[in-house]
Amino acid sequence: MLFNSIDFLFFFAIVFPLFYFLPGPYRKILLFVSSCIFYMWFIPYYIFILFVTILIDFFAAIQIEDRKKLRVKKYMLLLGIINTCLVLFFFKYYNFFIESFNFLGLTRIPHLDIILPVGLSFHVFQSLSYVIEVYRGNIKAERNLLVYANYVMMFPQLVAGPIERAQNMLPQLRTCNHKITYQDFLTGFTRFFWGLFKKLVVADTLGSFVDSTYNNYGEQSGGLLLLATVFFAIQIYCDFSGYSDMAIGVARMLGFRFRENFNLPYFATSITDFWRRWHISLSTWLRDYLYIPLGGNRNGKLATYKNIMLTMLLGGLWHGASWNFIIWGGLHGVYLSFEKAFSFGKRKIKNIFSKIVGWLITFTLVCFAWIFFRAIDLHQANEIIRRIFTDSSYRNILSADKTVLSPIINGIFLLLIIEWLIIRKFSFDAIFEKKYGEIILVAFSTFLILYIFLFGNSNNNQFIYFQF
Amino acid sequence: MPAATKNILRKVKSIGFGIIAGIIICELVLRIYNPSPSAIRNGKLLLPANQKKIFTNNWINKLDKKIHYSRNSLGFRGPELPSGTADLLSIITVGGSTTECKFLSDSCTWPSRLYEKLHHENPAVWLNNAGIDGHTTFGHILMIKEYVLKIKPRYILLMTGVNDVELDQPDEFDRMNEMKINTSSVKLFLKSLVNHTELGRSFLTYYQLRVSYKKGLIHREINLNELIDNPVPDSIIAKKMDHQTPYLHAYRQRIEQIITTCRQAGITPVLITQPSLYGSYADPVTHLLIGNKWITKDPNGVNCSLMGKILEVYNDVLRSFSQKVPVIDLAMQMPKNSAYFYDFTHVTNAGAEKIADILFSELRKFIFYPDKQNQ
Repeated sequence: MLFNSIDFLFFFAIVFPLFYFLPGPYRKILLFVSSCIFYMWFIPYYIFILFVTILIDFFAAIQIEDRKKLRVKKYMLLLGIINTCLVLFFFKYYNFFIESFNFLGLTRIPHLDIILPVGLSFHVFQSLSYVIEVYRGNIKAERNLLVYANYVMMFPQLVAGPIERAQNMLPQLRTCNHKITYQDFLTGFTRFFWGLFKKLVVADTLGSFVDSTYNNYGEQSGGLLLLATVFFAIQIYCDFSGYSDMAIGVARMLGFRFRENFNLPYFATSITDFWRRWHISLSTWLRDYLYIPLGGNRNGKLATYKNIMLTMLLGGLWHGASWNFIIWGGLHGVYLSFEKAFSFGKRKIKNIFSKIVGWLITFTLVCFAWIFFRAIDLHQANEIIRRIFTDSSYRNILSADKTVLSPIINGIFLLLIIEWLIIRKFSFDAIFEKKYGEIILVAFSTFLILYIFLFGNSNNNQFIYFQF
Repeated sequence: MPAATKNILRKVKSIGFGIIAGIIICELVLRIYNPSPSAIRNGKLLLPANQKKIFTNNWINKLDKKIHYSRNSLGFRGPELPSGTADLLSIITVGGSTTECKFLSDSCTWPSRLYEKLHHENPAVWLNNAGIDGHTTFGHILMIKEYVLKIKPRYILLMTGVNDVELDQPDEFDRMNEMKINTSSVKLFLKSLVNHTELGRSFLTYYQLRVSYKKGLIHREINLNELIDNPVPDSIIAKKMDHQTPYLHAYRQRIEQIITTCRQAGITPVLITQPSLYGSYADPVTHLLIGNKWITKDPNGVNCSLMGKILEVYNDVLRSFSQKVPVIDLAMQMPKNSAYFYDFTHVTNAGAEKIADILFSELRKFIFYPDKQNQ
C-alpha cells in the first residue's frame, strides 16, 4: 500500500495505538506482522522470497561471528552476498542482460515475464550492509530472528528506503520499549504531511506537465523540453524526498529515528556537494561498500577516477536495468572525477558570486543528467537533447498553457519559501523545543493538510523510486 | 489541578491555537494565489487565453490517444477573430462541457466541424467555441456579459440543459455574485461568509466537483454492459418529476435573461436542446435495453429512463421559446446510439460529426437564406 492512500490511513490508525500501548516484546511482534501485511499488499507471495533472504543472511551473520577460521567467515560472507545479489540479479537484471546479449547476437534466450518485488533494491542493500558490517567486526550479529526481520522489513522504510544501517536500527529494535513522546508524535506527524505535500501538491502536479511534454517530445519545442527537464528535476526531488519524509515521519511517530536522506540537494554548489545531500543513505552506502573497498582515493589519481566511475556506473545500474540509468550514473561519475581532478568539491566557496555560479553549473549538470534518467530510452534522450540545443523557439515557453503552469509555479514557490526559510535553518525537533513550538508545528501541519486536501493531485499515485 | 491534567490541557490548547493559526495561514496564502480550478472569481469569469497543449488521453478508449487542445487570444477554441469584421457572419457557441468538447482535438469538436461546413458554404463565416466545462446557465450569463457581448456576434448558439438539472435557485447564486454578507438566515449567513474566504470558496469548488461526479457529469467512459439494471418505481418517478418544478421555473427565467441580453445587443440567440443517451430504448450498437440502467451508484440516484424524462422537461423549456427565437431540437434529431457518445452526454468524434451535420442543415436555412424562412 502507498503512504498516500486511504488504505494506509486505516492501516496506521490501527497500528499506531496498538504500538503505543503494547509493551516491548509485543511491539516487536506487532511491527513484524504489520510489516508483513504492508508488504503483502503489493504481491502477497513475494513475501516468501523476503523470508528466505532474511533467513539466509541471519544464519550467515551468526556463522561469520561464531566461526574462528577466516576462510569460513569469508564463505559465509559470500553466502550472504550471493543470496541477496542473486535475488536482485534475477528479478531486476536478468531481462536486461538477456536482451543486451541477444541484441549483440551472442544469445537467443527469450526474456521472462518478471514482476519486480517492491523495494527489492533497498532491502537488498540494507541486508548486504548488515552482513558486511558483521564481517568487519563493526557490529555484533543479531541473535533474535524477529529483531533482524524487523530491521530488514519494517514497513516505514521497506519499499523505498532510507537504506538504514544496522548500527542505527538494531539497538532501537532490540528493546522496542521506548516511550513515544508527544514530541515524537508531533514532529513525526508534521514530517509525514510535509512529505505528502511535496508528493501530491508539487511532484504530481509537475508530473502531469512533464509526462505530457516528454511523451510527445517529437512535437515539443526545445524551450518546453528544457522547462519539462527542470520540472522533472524538481518532481523527482519532491517525489523521492517526499517519500523519505513520510517514511521518517511514520517511523518517528512510532518512536524510531531514521537517518536523514536528503539535505536540500539543489542548494549544492558542486556535484560532490550534491552527492552529500542527495539520497544520502545510498551515496554513503556506495562510498562505504563499493568505493572504499575498491581502493577509494588511496592508489593514485587514475585509480581514484576508475573507482569513482565504477561506483557511479553501478549506482546508475542500481536505479534501473537500462542503459539510460547507466549513462546517468556514468555522467555523474565524469562530473565527480572532473571535480576531483581540479579539487572543486573540496574548496569552501565564500564569495557569493562564486556560489551562484557554482550553484548554476551544478544544477545545469544535474538537470542534463536527469534527461537520461527520465527518458524511456537512449533515442528519446538524444532527441530531447538535440531539440534543446538546436530548436531556438524558446518563445513557446511564454505561450505555454498558463492554467497548467500557474499551479506548478505556485507549488514550486511554496516549496522554495518553506525550504529556504524554515527547513534549511530548523529541524522540526528544534522548532518543537522553541517557545510556542508546538503551536507552530500544529499550525504548519494544519496548513499542509488543508492544502493537500484541496489541491493535492491524486491522479498519479505511484512514487518514482518504487520502480527501483 | 494535577500536573498530568494541566499538561493535557496545555497540549489541547496548543493544538486548538495551532489549528486556528493553520487555517488563517492557509487563507492568507490562498489570498495571494488560489490554484482552485474555479473559473469564476468575485463574480468575474476568468478565461484561459493563448492555451496550446497536447495531452495524452489515457482514460477514454473511444477517443483519440493524443488530444490537441488550444484556446485563442479571446480565450475561445477556434480561429482568431479576423480584423475588419463588418461583413463577418460571426457565430459563437456557448455551453458547458458538451460544447467545449474538452476531450476532442481542436478540429474534431462539433463547433469546429460546424464551422468548416458553414465556412465552406460561405467564407464570411467565423465561428468560435466559448463552451466551458461545467458551466451552467449562470456561467453562460456571465460568459455572454463578460466576453461575448464585446465581440457582438450575429448569432449565439446556446446548448444547455444537463448541467442545469436541479441547479440551485438563482437567488443564491446572485448573492454569490453580489459578494454581500447575507443575514436573512444562519445557513445563508454562513454560506455567504464562506464565499468571502478563499478557503471556503475552494472547499465549495471541491464539493461541487464531487456533486458533479456523483451526478455523472464528470468525463469518464461508460461501458453500458457493466451498468446494473435498476427499475425505478412510478412513485419515485412522479416524486422526482415534481421535484423539478422550482428548478424549471428558475431555468426558464435564466433562459429569458439570456435571450433579452442578446437581443438588446442585436445578437440572435439560437437555442439547442441537449442530446444524450438518456432515455428508454435499445442501443443499436450493444443491443442493450438502456432504460433501467443505473447511472451512478448513488442509492438515491436515477436510471437512464428517469434521467431522460428529467432532461426532456428542461429541453421542453427551450422548445417553449420557439416562437420567440430559433430553436434547434438536437435532442430529438440526434440518434441515441452509443457509437456517438463515450458517456451519457459527451460525444465521440463520430457524434461530433453527426451534431455538426444536423446543426448545419438547420442553421443554413435561416443563416444563409433568412428570406426563404420568412416566406
